[in-house]
Amino acid sequence: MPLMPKRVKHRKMQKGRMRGLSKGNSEIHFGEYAIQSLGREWITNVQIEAARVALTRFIQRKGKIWIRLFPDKPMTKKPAEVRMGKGKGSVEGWVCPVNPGKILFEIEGVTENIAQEAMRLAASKLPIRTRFVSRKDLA
Amino acid sequence: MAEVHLDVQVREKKGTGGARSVRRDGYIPAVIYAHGEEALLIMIDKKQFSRAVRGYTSENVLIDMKIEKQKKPKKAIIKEIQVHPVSDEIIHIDFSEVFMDEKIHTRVPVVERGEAKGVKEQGGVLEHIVRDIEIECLPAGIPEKIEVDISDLEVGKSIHVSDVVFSEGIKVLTDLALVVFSVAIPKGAEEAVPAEGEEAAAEPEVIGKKAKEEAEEEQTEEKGRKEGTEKKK
Repeated sequence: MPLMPKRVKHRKMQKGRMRGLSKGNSEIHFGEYAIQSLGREWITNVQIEAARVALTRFIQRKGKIWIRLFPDKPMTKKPAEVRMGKGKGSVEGWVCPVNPGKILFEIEGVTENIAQEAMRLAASKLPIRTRFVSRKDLA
Repeated sequence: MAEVHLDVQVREKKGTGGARSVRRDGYIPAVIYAHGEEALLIMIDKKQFSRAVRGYTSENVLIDMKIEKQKKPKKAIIKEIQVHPVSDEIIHIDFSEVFMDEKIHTRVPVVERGEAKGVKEQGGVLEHIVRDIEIECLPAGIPEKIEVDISDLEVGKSIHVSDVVFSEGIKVLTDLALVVFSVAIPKGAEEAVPAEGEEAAAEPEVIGKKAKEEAEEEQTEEKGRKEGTEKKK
């Protein structure tokens, strides 16, 4: 089942704006390695699921994964060939707005090379530019 | 504990604009906190700082500071380093002045030594849960990191804070019952296949919608009743 909230306060949401950098969530909290967003985009629940599947398939039975983003924003769409107006369209999916700096996935229990390749495969499923990061030295 | 030397300058520019202009000149804005004294605003040469702390994995480095126009050098530890989330540049540093005969509270990272038996032979996954431990000790006795031997760790077993060996003079402040390392059984790569009809029902429940609908129904019923009585009249 794709990721989405269990309960919501309102069925539809306004688009909002995505200015600046990620507000928090820009440090590795759980694992040893991670991918960090460098772009600004809405990431859908289907894309998150595709990235997760790519990650778990590559690392197979080793390691542990953390998904640091959750699609809690409903995305609406009007049907094709419909005139403007007559209210907001119906909910077509769930997205997570991602700004530069946000940590997307974390991984632990695998070597750096495996983590790098797994993250490369996962990143290829996402609509934004990312980079591989690890817990590192002070400077 | 490793000790490094830094030459710092007192800074007069403060606030957002002041800090930005300091950064433009190739310095890192910083502050030294000391108990009983006012905080001292300083700036450090960016290159000198990165050269001095390169290779250290924790913030537990004793810094011997020679402040410009001040005769007495200060000893300090890094309290916090603010880093830009995308460019990785150091934005600001908080130092805390230490006195060699006064105990301080600090966090020390925990690292593993060796490879766990449960990972090597039994195919488990090593989980590193507590990554740093809070301790109280004299500045000279702060370890840069705490190494824990995990070579005997089997699947399903764990090492707690109470099992970690500390050198003398260190008082542990973190809860001793917390798990530092454990070897878990791998979950496996099985992927959840959605059951039939599950996707169709995939819509979240709207909070308060049920109550609202019931209230609306009651209102319409009441209206109907009123209209009925009026008609009878």
